[in-house]
Amino acid sequence: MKHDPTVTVADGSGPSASRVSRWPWRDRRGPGGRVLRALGGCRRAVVALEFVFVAGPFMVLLFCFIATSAVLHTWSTMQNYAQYAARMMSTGQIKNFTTGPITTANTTATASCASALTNAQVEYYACTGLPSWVNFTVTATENCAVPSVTVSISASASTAAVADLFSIFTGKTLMAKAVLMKEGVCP
Amino acid sequence: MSLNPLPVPRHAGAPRLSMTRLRTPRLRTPRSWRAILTRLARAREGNAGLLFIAIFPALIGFGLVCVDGAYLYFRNLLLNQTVQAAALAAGNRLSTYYSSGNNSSTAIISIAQTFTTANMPAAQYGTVVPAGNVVLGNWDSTVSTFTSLATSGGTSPNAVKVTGINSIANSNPVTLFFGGILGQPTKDLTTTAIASYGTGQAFNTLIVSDLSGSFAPSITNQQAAASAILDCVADSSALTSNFGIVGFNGRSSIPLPPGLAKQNKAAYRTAIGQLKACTQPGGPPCSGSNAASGIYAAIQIFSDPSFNNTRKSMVIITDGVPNARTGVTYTMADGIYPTPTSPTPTCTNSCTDADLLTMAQNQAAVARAAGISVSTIYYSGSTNGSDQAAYAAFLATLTGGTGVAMVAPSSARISSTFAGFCATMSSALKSVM
Repeated sequence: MKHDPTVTVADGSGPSASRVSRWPWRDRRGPGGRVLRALGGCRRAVVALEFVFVAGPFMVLLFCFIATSAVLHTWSTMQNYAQYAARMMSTGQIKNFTTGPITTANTTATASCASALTNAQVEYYACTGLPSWVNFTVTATENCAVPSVTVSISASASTAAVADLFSIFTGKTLMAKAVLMKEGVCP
Repeated sequence: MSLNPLPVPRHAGAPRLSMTRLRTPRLRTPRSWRAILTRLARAREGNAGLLFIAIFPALIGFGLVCVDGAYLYFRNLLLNQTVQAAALAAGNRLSTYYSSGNNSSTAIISIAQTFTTANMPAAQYGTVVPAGNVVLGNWDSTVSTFTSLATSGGTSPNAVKVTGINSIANSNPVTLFFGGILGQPTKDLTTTAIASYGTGQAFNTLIVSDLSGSFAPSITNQQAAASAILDCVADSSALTSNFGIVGFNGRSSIPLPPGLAKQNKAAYRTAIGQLKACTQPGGPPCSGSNAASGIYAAIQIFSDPSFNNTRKSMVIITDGVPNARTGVTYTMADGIYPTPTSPTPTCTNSCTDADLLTMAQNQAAVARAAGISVSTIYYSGSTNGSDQAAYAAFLATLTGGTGVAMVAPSSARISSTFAGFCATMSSALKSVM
């Protein structure tokens, strides 16, 4: 009765009609009060109820970790394959873009990993090991003035996150870039 | 079915637990602490909450470590790749040490830093590779060790070591997302990469060797240079790499026709030991010094279809500019035509030194057009000091493709410059730590 704001009669004869509880759902004397009292005394499914309270924040954290890990994993993979493609290009093993042979007139190309690629093209080596659930865009450039080759891979971070339920990565772009010296004759 | 994982045995005398009972005066005023503890031990309310309180911090901590660990992995990968790119670029510019004329490493350090900042911009990652972290030295492939020039006191580097740093001491540590919670807000990373020359592709090489009389005293050093180049072609490039030697004085000769370097290495080393200058017994007849004839012969060898779409390089080893000999009638094989289709020769009879010089430059241009890289090693020791700069400048005009112009100021340095030529084949990573 400590926190019950119901006004009581001094002689303890019970609530009168004029007595109004500010929190009627806690009024133990009404029918609702009996239900609550019964529920309060009931121990069935108490663990399930506690689990409901605990699972919420747990799931939030779990999905945040999954999303962040997926993004970092994808980012690392992108960096690996950007370097791989750049190395293939810098050594002269691969001499074609998706747009055709690398020449002084054709020094840069951009392609989506979703497009049809062949193993004679630089973009193929950038895309070949990337996760399939993300749409990556590859840009390869040869700059004979340095001379260097650059391979960049970009993707939507929220797509890479797999389970970005709380839109942490919405609107953000993952970018991996590898720049290597062009070896041999350029282009 | 009860969801309570630990049902309380009724026979233990425990009262059936409920909120109602907890509110009884008897329970609010326990008779003893023992009674309180007994009731707590038997109570099953808040199981999940207690587990949550106990496990949740651990779960959060584990998750944070995983996130920071994954980020650290990425940064380590980025640093690794950046340092590798810098080392490969520096290795590709190793020949500038020999072509600079003063054994300068400035261009090597500069290119290493250029590729470092291209991969890890200084504004974002700080100075990842300070100038002092680009070290020239020698890589010993038999024991896989690197010895810096500072340690060895040598002047013939064949490798570059680049060390990339992300550290507090370098003012650019890796800042972790949640490391501060665990008492480690930053992490230091260091990666070292060593690059030397090497390629998995064919690196077909012809040495165009000056066998004129003036070079006779240094023929041993020239042989040593040829042997060193044979070694790097045989050991640091594909098995399909060819090696051969073209000699020239007034006219060309082919003392060692090209063949597979690795397969014939021992036989070729013997053949190199038998190289003779024109003034030596068994040497070709002396007829002046006409580099054009040697370059022309090399072009003809490389025009064979078997060399199509392969790396082709020639290195001209000479001690000076061409000089004509009176009474010699030059032919097409001596490189007198400016281009393969040109109907008019530069000269045939009474050719001057200047004519032969022009012919050499014409043939070098033809070689470049045919995709052949031309390098030169100029032994300046037998030239007057006043002529050395002009001679070096002339030989530099012959270079093309990935070729470099190198100067050996002493006879002994002729052979050591081989590493400068070998560095034009491409660089390869020897070690990443």
